[in-house]
Formats: sequence, structure tokens, C-alpha cells
Amino acid sequence: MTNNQKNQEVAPNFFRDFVVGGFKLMGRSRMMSIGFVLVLSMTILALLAPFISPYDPLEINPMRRLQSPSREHIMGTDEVGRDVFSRVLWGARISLLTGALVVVFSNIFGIIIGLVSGYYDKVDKVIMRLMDGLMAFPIMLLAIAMMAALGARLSNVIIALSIVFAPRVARVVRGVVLTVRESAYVEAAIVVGAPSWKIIFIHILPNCLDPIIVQSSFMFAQAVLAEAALSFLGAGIPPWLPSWGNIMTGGRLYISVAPWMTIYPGIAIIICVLGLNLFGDGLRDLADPRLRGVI
Amino acid sequence: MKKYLFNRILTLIPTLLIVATIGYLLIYMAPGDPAAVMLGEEADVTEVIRLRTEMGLDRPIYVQLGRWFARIARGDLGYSFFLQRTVTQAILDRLEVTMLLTAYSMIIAIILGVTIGIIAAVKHNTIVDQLMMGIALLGVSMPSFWLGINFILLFALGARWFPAAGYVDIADGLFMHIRSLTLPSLTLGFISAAPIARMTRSSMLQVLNQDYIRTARAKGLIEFSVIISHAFRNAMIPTITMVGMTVGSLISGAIVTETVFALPGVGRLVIQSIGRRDYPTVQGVLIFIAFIYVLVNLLVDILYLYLDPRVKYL
Amino acid sequence: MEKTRKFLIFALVLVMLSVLTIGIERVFAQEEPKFGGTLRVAVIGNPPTLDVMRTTASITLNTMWHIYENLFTHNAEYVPIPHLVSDYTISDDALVYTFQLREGVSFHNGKIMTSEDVVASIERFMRLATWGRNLAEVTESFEADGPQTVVLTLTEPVAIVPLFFTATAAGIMPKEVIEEAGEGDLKQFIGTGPFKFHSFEPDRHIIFRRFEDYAALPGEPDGYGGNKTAYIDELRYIPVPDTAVRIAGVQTGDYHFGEWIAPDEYERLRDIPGIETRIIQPSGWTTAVFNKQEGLMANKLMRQAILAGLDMEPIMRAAYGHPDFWRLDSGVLFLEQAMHSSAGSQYYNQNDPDRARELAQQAGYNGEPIRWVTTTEYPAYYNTALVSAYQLEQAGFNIDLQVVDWATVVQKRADPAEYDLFSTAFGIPWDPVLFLGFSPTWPGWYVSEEKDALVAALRRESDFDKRMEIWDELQYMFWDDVPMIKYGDYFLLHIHREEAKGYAGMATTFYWNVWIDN
Repeated sequence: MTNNQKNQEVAPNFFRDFVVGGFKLMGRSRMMSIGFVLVLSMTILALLAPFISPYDPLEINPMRRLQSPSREHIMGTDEVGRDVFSRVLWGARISLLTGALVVVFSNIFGIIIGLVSGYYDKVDKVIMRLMDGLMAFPIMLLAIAMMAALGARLSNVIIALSIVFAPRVARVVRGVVLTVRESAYVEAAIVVGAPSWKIIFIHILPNCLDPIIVQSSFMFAQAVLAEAALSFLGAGIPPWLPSWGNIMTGGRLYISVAPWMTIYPGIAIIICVLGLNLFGDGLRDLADPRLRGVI
Repeated sequence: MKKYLFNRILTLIPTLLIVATIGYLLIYMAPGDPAAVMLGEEADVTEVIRLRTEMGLDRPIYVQLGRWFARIARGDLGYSFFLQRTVTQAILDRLEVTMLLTAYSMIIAIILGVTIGIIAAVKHNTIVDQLMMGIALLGVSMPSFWLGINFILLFALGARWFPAAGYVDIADGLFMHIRSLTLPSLTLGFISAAPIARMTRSSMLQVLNQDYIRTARAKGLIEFSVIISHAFRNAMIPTITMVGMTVGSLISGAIVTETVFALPGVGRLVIQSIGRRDYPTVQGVLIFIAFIYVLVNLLVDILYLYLDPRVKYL
Repeated sequence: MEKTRKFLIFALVLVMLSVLTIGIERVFAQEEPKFGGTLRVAVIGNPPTLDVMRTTASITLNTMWHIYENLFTHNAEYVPIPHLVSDYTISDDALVYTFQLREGVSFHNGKIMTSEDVVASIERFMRLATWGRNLAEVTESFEADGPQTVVLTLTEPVAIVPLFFTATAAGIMPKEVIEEAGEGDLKQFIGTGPFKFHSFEPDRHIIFRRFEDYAALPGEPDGYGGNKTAYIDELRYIPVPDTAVRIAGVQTGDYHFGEWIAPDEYERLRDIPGIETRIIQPSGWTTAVFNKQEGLMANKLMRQAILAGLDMEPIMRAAYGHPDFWRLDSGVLFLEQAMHSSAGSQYYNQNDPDRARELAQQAGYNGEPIRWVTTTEYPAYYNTALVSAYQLEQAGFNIDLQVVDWATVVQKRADPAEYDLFSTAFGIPWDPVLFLGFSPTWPGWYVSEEKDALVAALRRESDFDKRMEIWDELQYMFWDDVPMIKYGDYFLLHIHREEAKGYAGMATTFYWNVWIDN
């Protein structure tokens, strides 16, 4: 069985399942449903943050700084007396928003680049050299350099991470395009003179969706981690904003006096990223076991 | 195959050129002034301007870029603003730390990953399987610096088994050397074990279902030797490929880990050089890391191609 | 019976007395310092350069001063005393200073120090260093008069000549080393100090070794001067950026000293046996400097408005935590210094948002963003700015807090178009004349003819009471003009293991006279 046929078979069924009966699908994999529940609960907490957080995450009160967890502050307070629990809740918003937007933008860039590059031989070489160049930077290094150039803003973190991840999407999409393009029906469509955009959207794009969706959940997870690492290295979003990375980075200075500043946001990240990874693993197994190890 | 290889090696050159240019432009776009950093907190503005001119930072960017490329072409990475040595020397000074850290982390990742993978495959579809894969997945699901800080908290501040930071040369005693790199390697190894575990598990599963394993079992060979000498030996090939693919992420991880544990490696060098706008050093290290990165990827691709001729593009 | 009681009392008194004397003996028994060993000191980072004349970075100055010595230095009361100078005379018109140099002082390269070396060093100091250029403004000539004599001729009387020569940047080095450097950085690091430079491996260590031929002054140590002895064979500075890691390293014995420890750790560390804590009081003061050249803050009323709106206590608490490590005071000089003044203190720590709004309204402020540049690389800078911004926003100001790295702070603050305020801190201002905040060319640009006239008057005047009068007037002007906001005094925390002995705990840390008791 060739790769191409396999994709043909799996894609439609998989998506019908996914859209029509997501929960039925979950039943097939316990790990995947755990992942889904974790991600879902984080999302709900993030959405409800304005209503359930006991304090304003930006409210400063140095008189109550570095207090250990208590009934008033269940995760303690930080070095300027902000409530860590409220910041972790709001942090879910910022971290999830960052992850989601990075997924959206890197997919948009990556798909366009991958389609163009895979479909048009002439530009392929040039584009792929550029992508190779971008991918020759370790992820963190490119992100840091870009943040240094762009400046510390949430939008810049999203842009930087999208640019970092886009070539990885492009590479996968291009791979699929190259395989699909050789298939009999695409060749037939070309022969009968169907316009390129039609071939791309009707025949090629649907075949890319599997790997893209699977990859997206991992990219989401990596983006959340990357945001935290950027903050840690001092190249993230402005430090007063409550992202998980920022809360932890602030806590590093006080690790032995106020470990709660570091531990709780860390646990929040683990829950969220573990959920995404479990979910992604499940998706991958369902979509195409052959993708194992490739993405 | 030969043609493919030749082409791949040829394409390294434009890739590195692109890396160099992108890196150069990004760093020059960044605000910040090495002259002012060098002069310190209390320097006045006239002094800063004078030193900028002396360092040649007031020339237009294309002039600086051109000069830099001219030097690179001669294999000269330039002289660091801050380190009182050439960039090449600065990288060589720190290579040992990063290479050893990466190597030790790799060993830990392989031991962890392969063990977890084998156990999970043998106990396929049991709670043990899921627990093992859960542990591996936990590793990739936490920020490495968070894990590192917690290791410091537990094993350096708490138990005092290991130093909290810093590096000891092999020359100063092997025991102290290993001790100084234990926590960093564990951190980096643990977060890199998951893909190896996953790959080991799935290829072990494939092998375990094959006839000759059943035959071996039927012959009454004990389970342990079946798993190790028959099954794992055959499941190893994809695992090795995966190990190769992990090198790239290890280099990325080393940047963060070296910062957490204050190790004088290449990763920390580049972070600090970005921090003080040591342009020649940042450029040099970027090129160097990219070169290693691309080289490793090429080797992995060759390995992959060699082991599995079906795969061409992914 | 009576006799027995008397005897008992007598015996008791005797016993108590002897116990007491033993106690006293213990206190006064000088432990004999031991030679040898490597002293490991954890510091926050790497020096940007090793050339003490070319930088003002404290990490360079505070490490490299172990190898250099000065014509004058500070004693335990922070008063300048001669060090490489054996004696000096001042002419009646106070314009000519004649310095006799100490004889037989050897450089680390074996050469004996002469007036040539002193002239070359001080000339480079006057060309490159901030204090040096300040001195150069009033210097007619600085020349050798024979191998052991140098003569400074001034254009006008200067009250604080010895103070200028105490700067680490005025360290004496061989003439050849200076000639070799030319217009650039020093290539060799050679001085006359008790330690000699051995090696610098960025991110690993700076190593100094004992200088065996050191020409020590006889007698007792006195502050930074007097007798200096390198008991340790090797002094090793290790850059450890994380405060938690510096502490851990001192606890585990990897380091003997940990400098710049977060004050929040104080209570915990104080109770750990084997670790000594030292509060360095005073160390410096934290501030936010206005851009007085361009933009919103060029308007004095706006600066007064910002000052009026701030409540210093929460700001200092957020930045320094434990109350033993900070102090609210309005003096430009510290309470511990003879010239401390309270002039203008009514403007300090007003915590009056209404007055702030009123002043801002008079200034025509209309909610424009106020660009405040700060960095998390120095947590105290960031925390003071963060809490100030919060307070000011509550009072109706629109603060654009720009958190960048230090390299960007120093670039932006030099460009008047880029900012309205930046965060920084000062070390000990030794004299109002040398206080950086009065410099018209330092970022923030405090340009004022009246201020310059008062500073010049202070430089000329040597009578203490008259100086105080001028200084009160000048400090009042400082609080009225508000070139910057003084938040408060801070005190550093250093920790060390108890086997490291002889540490003086002065404002600038030094490790001569320190020894390791094994």
C-alpha cells in the first residue's frame, strides 16, 4: 500500500469521525481522552479567569509580599504582593492564546509555503533553501534573536514563534504535496486542464489536513513551552503580564524563600502541555500510525 | 544516492549563507549598544559616542555586513568585543562543556528511552504500558528550566548531593566533573527521552509480533533473552535514527540548561553575547551552531535513507 | 558560720572573676591568620572589560582593584589617606600639590615604581575616566619632579584633591603597559597590589594570585589602606548569575563568599550555622532619572508631579524586602557621611496623588504615555519601576513601562528621543562635587547654570561649615528641580563561610587580609 492511497482512505473517515462523533472517537483511546479532558479544563479555567480569579492579577501590594499559600492566597503571593493563583488563572489565558495563535499563523504561513513549494518546481529550490536556513537555527535561538530585534510584546512572541514553526509545517505539507501530485487522479486533472487552484484546494489540501492537525497539537504544546522558555531567558512578553513563563521566571529569584511562585505555574504548564501531547499522540495513532516518529 | 548526497552537501553552503544573513540582520535590528555596555553604569554620553566610533559601529549596516562576509570567506570569525580573544577561540574554549553535556544527556536519554520503550512494548496494552509512556511524555511536557530548578532545589539545595551550578574540568578530577554535570544531563536527558521511548516501543511491537520471535519463544528461550537478543536487536535501527534526530533538540535544550546551571558552554555564550550585543561572537556562534545542526541533520537523513529506502521526502 | 559564708562568697566571686577573664581572653585572643588556600567568591557576572580606566562597571572595578593601588585610598571612616604617596605638601595658594612617592614599591613585572609610571597612569586616568576628566578640567599640569616626586598644578583651588586619586580608575600601572595600550584597551594587567592578575576565562573565573614581592605598608590595616596582606594563595571569582545558586554554593562549601545575596534570604541564612551574613551599610541608593532634554519630562512641573505621587515605602519594600536592607532618607549623601544634608526633605516621599494630579494639570499633561525604560537584569530597578508605575497609574498617569535588557537600557538612555525616565542606582557618592547625578553630560542631562555654579563653589571651598552651607542650597535645588527621583538607601547582603576570616565588610569588598581557617 502506498502512502498516497493510505492518505486517501484515512482522511475522510477520520474527519467524519472527528466532526460527527468526537466523543465516540475518544472512547477508543483512554490516554487521548485524558488529554482531552486536561486541555478542556485548562481552556475552561482560562475562559472563566475574569470571573473566578479572586484578585486582580496586576494588583500590587508590597505589604503582603512573598506570603506562603493560605486561605486568602491559595497559591501564595509574589515579590510585589500579587496573588499567584489569580496570575496562574490569567496565565492560562495568555499561554493558551499564544499557543493557539502560533498554531493558526504558523499553519497559514506553512501551508501556503508548502503548497507553493511542492506544487511549483521552479520556486521549490529557493523556498526550501530559505526554510532549511530557518530550520538550521535551534528553535530557541531563532526565537530569541527575533525577540531581540522585535522587542518584548505579546504579538511579537506570537510572530516570532510562528516564523520558527512555519518551516516545519511547510516541510510536512510539501512532502504530502510531492506524493499526492504523482497520483493518477491529480495527473489526470492536470491533463484535462483543471486550474491549479482547483487542483490544490480540491485534491491536494485535504490530504495535508491529517498531518497538519496532528502536528498542530504538538506545535501548540511546544509553543506553550517555548513562550515559557523565552520568558526565562529574558526575551519573552513584558514581565508584568501574567503568563506562566513570566510567573516562573519571577519566582526563580525567590526559589528557596517562595517556591510556590515557581511550582504552581510549572504544574499548570505540565497539565496543559501533557494534555496536548496525550491528545496529539491519540490523534496521530488514529490518523495514521505511520506518522509515528515523523512528526 | 551519490548524487543525492552531493546535492545535499552542496546545498549546505546557501543554507549557511542564509543563516548568516538572517542572524546578522536580526541582531543588528535589535536595539542595544555594546559600547555603552562596556563603559558601564556611570559613563557619560560623549564617551559612549566616542567608543561607538572607535568600534566602527557608526558605519552603515551594509558596509559592516560586507566586511564581515569578506572576513568569513577567509575563515575568520573575528574578534570578540568583550572576551579578549578571537571568536573562534571563544567557541573552542566552550565546546568541551557543550559537547560533554550533550553526550551525557544523550546517554541518559537513550537509557531512559530504551528502557521505557521496551517495558512498554512487552507489557503492551496494560496499565504498565500507559504508565511508562505517561512518564516519557511527562518529560517533554515540562519546561526544561523548571525541571532544572526543581532538581537544584531537591538535590543541590535540599540533599546537597550535587553542586547547584558550575562546571568542573575533567582535569580537576573525574568524579567532581561527573558530579558537576549530573543534574544538567539528567534535566536534558529526561526531556529528550520521550521520542526515543516512543520509537523503541512501536518498533519493538512490530518485531515482537513476528514469526521468529514466536519461534524463539516456542523453543523455550527465557523471556528476557528473547527480548534483548532477538527483539531489541532488530528494533534498534529506527531507534538509532530517532536518536540522531534528537541531537538537534539537544543543542536547543543545551542553551536553556547551560543558563540554568551556569555552565560555561556554547549555549550560554550565545545568550550572553546577545545580551551584551557582542555582534562578532553572536554571529560566529550562530554560524557554528547552524553548521553543526545542518551537519547532524544531514547525517541523520543519510542514515534514514540508508536504513529505509522507501522514505524520500519526509 | 559567718566566716564560712564570707569565704563562700569570696570563693564565688573568685570563680566568677576567673570565668570572666577567660571570657575576655577569648574575645581578645587574636587568632593567628593562616597563609594558603584558594578563596572562591561567587559574583553575579563577568566584567565587560578588564580595563579599569575605560569602564565604570562595578564588576570590573570591584575585582580588578585587588591588583592595583592608588596614590590615596579610603580609611575605615571613608576618609582619604595616602597609600602609594608617603607624604605630600600643599602650596599656600592651594594650587600646587607635591607628592612624595613611596620608595621600593615593585610592580608585578618586577619593575620599581617611579614618578614616570605615576604620571603616565594619571594622564590616562584624566583622559579616559569620569572622575579623571573632572580633575583634568582644573588641572594645569601633572608632572614628574625627580624619580620619587610628582607635582600637580591646579588652575583653581580644589577642596578634594586626594579624593580624586582614590578612584580605582586612578590605579598606578607601569608606563610601558599604558604605552602598549595606546588609544585602545589595556593588553596587560599589572599593578602594585597584593594580588597579581593570573587569568580571565569568561563565565568560568577570574583568577588572581598572591604577589610575593608586594611592598606592604607597616602597621595595621586601616579601611582600604594601611597594611594589606594576601593570606590566600589564590583568589578566584566565579560568575554565578542566580542568587539561589550562589547561596547553595556557599552552603555546600563550593564557594567561600557569595556577594549580592537577595535580602529576602536573610532571615533564613542568619540561622544557618557555619554561614556568616554581612549587611553592607550603606551601599548605594536606587533612583529613576528623568530625561530633562526632550519630551514630557523636560517640564519641571511634570517631574515634580511624578515625585509628589510616589509612596516610597512600598516601593523600597518591593525592591529590597527585609527592612534591615533599606532606609527611607532624602539625602544625596548618606546619613553615615559627614556632609549628609536634609535640605529639601519635605519633597521626598510625599505620597500625595492629589498634588501630583494638580501639578500635572498645571504642566498641561493630557494622558500622554510616559516612557519608562527599565530592566529585569537588575531586579531592584524593575521592581521600583513596576510599583512606581502602578502608583502613578492609580493617580491618573499613563505609564508605558518598557522592560528591556540592560544593553538596550544603556542605548536608549543615551538618546533623548527615546525615553522619559530610566531606572538605575548609584553607589556611594563620595562628595557632592563627584556626584554623577549633577553631570550635564550623563544620560538625563541635568543642565543648569545655577547648579553648575554651586558645584564649582563646592569644589573650591575647603572650609567644612561653608561647604555645608553651599551643599544645603544645592541639595534643596536637587529636590526642587527633580532631575531624578531618589527612592531610598539600600544595603547589600554578602554571605561567607565561617572558616573564611578577616573580612572587613566595607562598602567595596576586598579579599586581602582575608584568610582561610582549615
